[in-house]
Order: sequence, then structure tokens, then C-alpha cells
Amino acid sequence: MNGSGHAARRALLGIVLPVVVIVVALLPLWLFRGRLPQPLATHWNLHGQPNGAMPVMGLVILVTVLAGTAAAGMSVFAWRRNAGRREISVALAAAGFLGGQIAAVNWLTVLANLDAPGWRQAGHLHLPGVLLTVLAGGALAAILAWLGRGLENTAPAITGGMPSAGLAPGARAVWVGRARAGWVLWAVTIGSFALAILTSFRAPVAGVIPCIVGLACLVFTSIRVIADRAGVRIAYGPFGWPVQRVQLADIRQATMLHVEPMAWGGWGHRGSLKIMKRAAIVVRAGEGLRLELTGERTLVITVDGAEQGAGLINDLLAAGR
Amino acid sequence: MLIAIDERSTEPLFRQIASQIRRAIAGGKVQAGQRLPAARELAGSLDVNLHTVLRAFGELRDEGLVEMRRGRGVTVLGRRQQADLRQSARVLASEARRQGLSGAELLRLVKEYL
Repeated sequence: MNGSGHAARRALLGIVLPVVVIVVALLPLWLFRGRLPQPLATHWNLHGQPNGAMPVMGLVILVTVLAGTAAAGMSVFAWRRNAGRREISVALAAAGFLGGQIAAVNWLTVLANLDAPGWRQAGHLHLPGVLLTVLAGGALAAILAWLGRGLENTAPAITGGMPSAGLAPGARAVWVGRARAGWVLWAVTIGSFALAILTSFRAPVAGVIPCIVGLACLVFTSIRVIADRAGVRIAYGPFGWPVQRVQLADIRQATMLHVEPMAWGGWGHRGSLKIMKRAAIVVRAGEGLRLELTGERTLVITVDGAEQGAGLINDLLAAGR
Repeated sequence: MLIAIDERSTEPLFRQIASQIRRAIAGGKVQAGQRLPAARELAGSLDVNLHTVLRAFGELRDEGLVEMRRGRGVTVLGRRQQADLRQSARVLASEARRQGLSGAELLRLVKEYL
């Protein structure tokens, strides 16, 4: 990782981002400073009528503290010495999302108070509209923050050519790899089953949900990946069931990558090949196999010895062409 | 663990399979306690007869590198050094054969280094 790129990211996260979030959140108070009642309506009941107020300075302090804490908290998370590129990007987007929501709330508040003679005459705010605006504000800011990560050096994750296992022409081969989850997933699995047993003593029905959670976790405590002339098979859990298949004809190329679970949305089966064109099977951090599929889809699988697996898949693809 | 076989090689297929698994054990690619894929699954992947794979497993079991239990499949015992030495012996033997040495000649050669 290049040093100046890292320093720029740290400055962005630690100083620029909180300042930008606070400025955007406070901007309407300054823009409409002559057209607002004092105090401002800052709370609305379920029917959308204003039922609480606050002096302008109080609102300024509250917004500064909230937005500043959200952005600064995320900055600290990404500031750690060993934070990876993706971790920093995720932290940026999360800070943007939180900050964007706070800014959206403040904009709504100010606009509702605009030109009102007193706070009780402020405009009505209705829950669905508020929720939509807040979510939209958060999403917009998250996207902007995500795009802002352009400050980082964008070296390609894979250097050199496509991996190859050196399969001789005419030879037949199979590659078997596996990945095992760390203790966290096991702890959640065992905890869920323990909870299922304990709650079952009180009411048998109550044990069903922790039992389902436990089974879902158990499936991701280990995976076995097999690559051969048919394609790639992923067998889940200690029983090797269920099995997910990817046909060789659907694979364009295979590479190795380093997987940070948080960058792929956590552990388990994340994303969707059908809807998001991107999915990841994550049971641990570290080495993983990246399959570029037809239709611009990408499947990532955490597995040991992924480079050799990727090599064989590329060799099989080359042999079939 | 990569298992590649070549039909045109003079070495029997079951030996090739056993050799590749042995190499994976020696190299630490499969570890103690890890279960090998089912014989049926490997046979399907490599497009060989089920008995070819079972014979390869049998050879590894006789060498003390894996354990076979009914219903539990084949478990690696993880004796890396033992696997490594066996693999070296196998490579030496096939190289000697390629160069046209007889068994007695190879044994005499090895004895020189003892």
C-alpha cells in the first residue's frame, strides 16, 4: 500500500469527512436564518403535528455532536493501522450513510419550520415521508462517500497473469479445497442450539427460531469446494449438504483474492448472483477463489489453496476452448 | 489438493492418484483429521472406475497415511514426514525405471548412501 495514499485517506476520514457531514447538516440553518421561528419545532407526534421545540443554538449543538460522532466513530474504525482498502471504503460509506441521515433529518426539520410565525404553526411531518427522505439522504451520502474513496491508490488486486496449475494436455484432474470457520461462528452456532434447548423447556415452539439460526450457522462452519471438468461444486457444512454447483461453461476465468468478510457484507452467503450479479460465500477471512462468470457476474468463495484451484479451473477452461 | 492423472503415462492410474494424494499430505495441503472426498465423487470427477480410486485409497492405508472406516470415509492421519519419504522413494524408483536400472541395481545404489 502506498504511503501517501494512506495518509490522504486518513486525513479524509479523520478530518474532512466529519467536517463535510456537519456543514451539510447545518447548511439549511444558515441558508434560511432570517425565515425561521425561535425556538424551532424539532419534534412531531405520530399525526405529524409539532409537539416539541428547541432554540436554534441547541439544534446546532445537537446536530454537530450527532453527525460529528457518527463520522468520527467510523473514521476511528478505519483509522487502525491494519485497516484494508475495502474496510476503509466500507467505513466511508457507513459514515456517509449515518451522516446523510442526520443531515436529511435536519433539512426536513428546517424546511418544516420555514416562514412559520411560531414553532406550533410549523408544517406537519408524516412518518412515511420522513422515513423515505431519511433513507434517501443516507443512501445518497453513502454513494457519494463510496465514490470519494477514489483518493486511494487503485492498484489491481491481482498482479501477474491468470494462475495456472500446469495441467498437461489430455490429462484429467480434480481439485479439492476447503475452508473452516473461526471460533466466532462456532460460538454462535453452539450458543443458538443451547438457547434452543433452554427455551424449549419453557415452550417447545420458542425453541424453533434459535434452532433454525443454529442450523443456518452450522452450514457455514465449513465448506468443501471441488473443481473438475463439470465445473465447481460447493458442499456446505459438516454433512456436505446442501451443494451449490457452477457449470464450467458459465465460468470465464478464475483468480485468487484476499477476502475481508466486512467488505462482502459479513459471513455466510452474501449477495445474489441473480439479483446483484455478485455473491460471496464467506466462512472466514483470508484466501479466496474469485470466479468471473458469464453475464458479468462474480462469485467469491473463501477456500484454502485457492490459487491452485483457480489454476486448474483456468487450465480446464483453456483445454475446453 | 490437486489430483491430476494422465492416461498416456506408463504408471497405473491408481498409483498416479495415490501419489498425488501422498504429495498433498507431504506438502501439508491436507492435514491430519481431514476427510478425503468420497471415492465415488473422485471417480466421477476424474472419469475413472470407482475401484481405481478405492485401490489408491487402499495403498495409502497400507502405508499408514490414511484411515478407512465404513461409513466415515477416508481420514488423513497426517504423517507428513512419512508421506514425504515415501513420495521421494516413489520418485526415485520411477526415475530408475525410466533410466533402465534393474531393481537390484537400484537397491545397490541406495545402499551406497546408507
